[in-house]
Amino acid sequence: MLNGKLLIDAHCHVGEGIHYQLMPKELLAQMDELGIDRAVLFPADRHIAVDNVEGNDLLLRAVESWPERFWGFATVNPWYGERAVSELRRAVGAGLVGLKLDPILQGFLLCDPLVHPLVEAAIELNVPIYFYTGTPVNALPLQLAELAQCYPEGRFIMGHLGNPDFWLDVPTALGQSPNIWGEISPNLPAAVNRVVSLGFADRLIFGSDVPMTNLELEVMKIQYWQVSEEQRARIMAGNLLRLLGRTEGEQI
Amino acid sequence: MIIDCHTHASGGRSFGLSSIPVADFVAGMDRCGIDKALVYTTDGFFSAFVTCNDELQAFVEQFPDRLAAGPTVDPRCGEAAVAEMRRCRLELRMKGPLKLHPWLQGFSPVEPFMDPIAEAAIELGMPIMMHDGTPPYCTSLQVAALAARFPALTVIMGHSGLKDLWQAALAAAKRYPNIILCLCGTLPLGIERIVAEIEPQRLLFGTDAGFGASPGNQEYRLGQILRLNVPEEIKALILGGNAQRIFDLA
Repeated sequence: MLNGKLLIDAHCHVGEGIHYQLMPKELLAQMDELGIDRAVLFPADRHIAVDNVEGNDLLLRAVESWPERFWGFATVNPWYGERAVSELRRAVGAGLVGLKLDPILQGFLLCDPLVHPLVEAAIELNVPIYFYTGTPVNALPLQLAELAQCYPEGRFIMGHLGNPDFWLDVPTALGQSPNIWGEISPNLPAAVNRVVSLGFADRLIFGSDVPMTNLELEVMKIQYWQVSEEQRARIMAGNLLRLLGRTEGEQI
Repeated sequence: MIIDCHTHASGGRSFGLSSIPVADFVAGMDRCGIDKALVYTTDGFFSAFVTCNDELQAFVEQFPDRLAAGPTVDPRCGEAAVAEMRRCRLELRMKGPLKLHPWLQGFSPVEPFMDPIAEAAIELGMPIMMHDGTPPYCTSLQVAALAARFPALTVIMGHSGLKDLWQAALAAAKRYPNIILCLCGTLPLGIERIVAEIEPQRLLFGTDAGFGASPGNQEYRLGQILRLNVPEEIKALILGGNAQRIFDLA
């Protein structure tokens, strides 16, 4: 809890990646220090790019070991085709609660029909899909809006709100597609305040992107959001719980 | 001494952002313990740069001990651009670098009209800071190409690759000794790597204050440096010592 409010970090990478390493136990220690109740785990770089099963298994072990502290989003590279869909079914069946796709690390245009079988499987499994965004030319907010409009029954998360250079597109994308939520790391308070001022507070989700960032500093920014206390609580945890179909009671 | 090497004033008309009164700008620095700031335009990237440089000068003159200006020009303007660089440096006594923003200004750093700009900058002892980290005209290696062509020119990467291109900024800084990296909006993981691999004398820090101002922005960017796991004397160089040396700030 942070100042009496539930705090869930919706975006943490764990595992032994090539560019970074963070094990769930180390993350847990940082969470305890900073008042983070729960974290949503994502695989590390090479697990996202190629070694999907290894990454998903690491997440499954973490959520089994600390079910009150971690949820996990599976990843599969869409170029694996049918094998990707099967791996998603296995990982979600075993306990992961979402799908993470990364057009940069996995090498595809965000709205390429290549991802349609995975989107359809995620809808059938009733899990949201998190897309990394912000890097041109193939991981952009309006590409996510295009995909989300193809699947109005799907639930999508716009990772990083198009950071750093696509902030102008974010309100347009959220406006086009009511089924997109925005994860805010590593944006400045100004970016969060802008999206809130345009009426999207109920669709923003706190995340840190640790270990690409400093967790303490990501949490530090929460106090600077120019929002009502109700809105603050929703961005800190409520919006994500609603997206995942959980209640605060279940969480605590 | 903490010197914020990347801030914007008189900005806002172009992006519909509210412009910041100078007293509020300095109050933001006070809140974070920032002693001095190098201030650049925003509107000048889109409109009459001479007028915008005058506005910038009027802004910094209100707090001469705290603020120093870095002008901009449209490099396509040739002689008029060079004349404006001279005016800003020699008449207005601006101490900051020439600030260019190739993707907002719509040119590539590799275009030939940059030659007279670079030559004038060398003659005036004026570094050129460019926005970097953003395709298609501001990738870090496009900015670095100017440093390659003019070894006597000091080229400052305004963002050290931002979120996506810090590895390119790092590679460029290793290859060309006349590149200085400003840690401003760089992915925090990238900041750690750059600080581990580049001589500390070639690093600056900035917050981008003034471009979308909210309390907390500067605290966050300054925090990236304050929390680095390096000796205090290295932090002191990044936070201010290098800027004092490079821009002759007391």
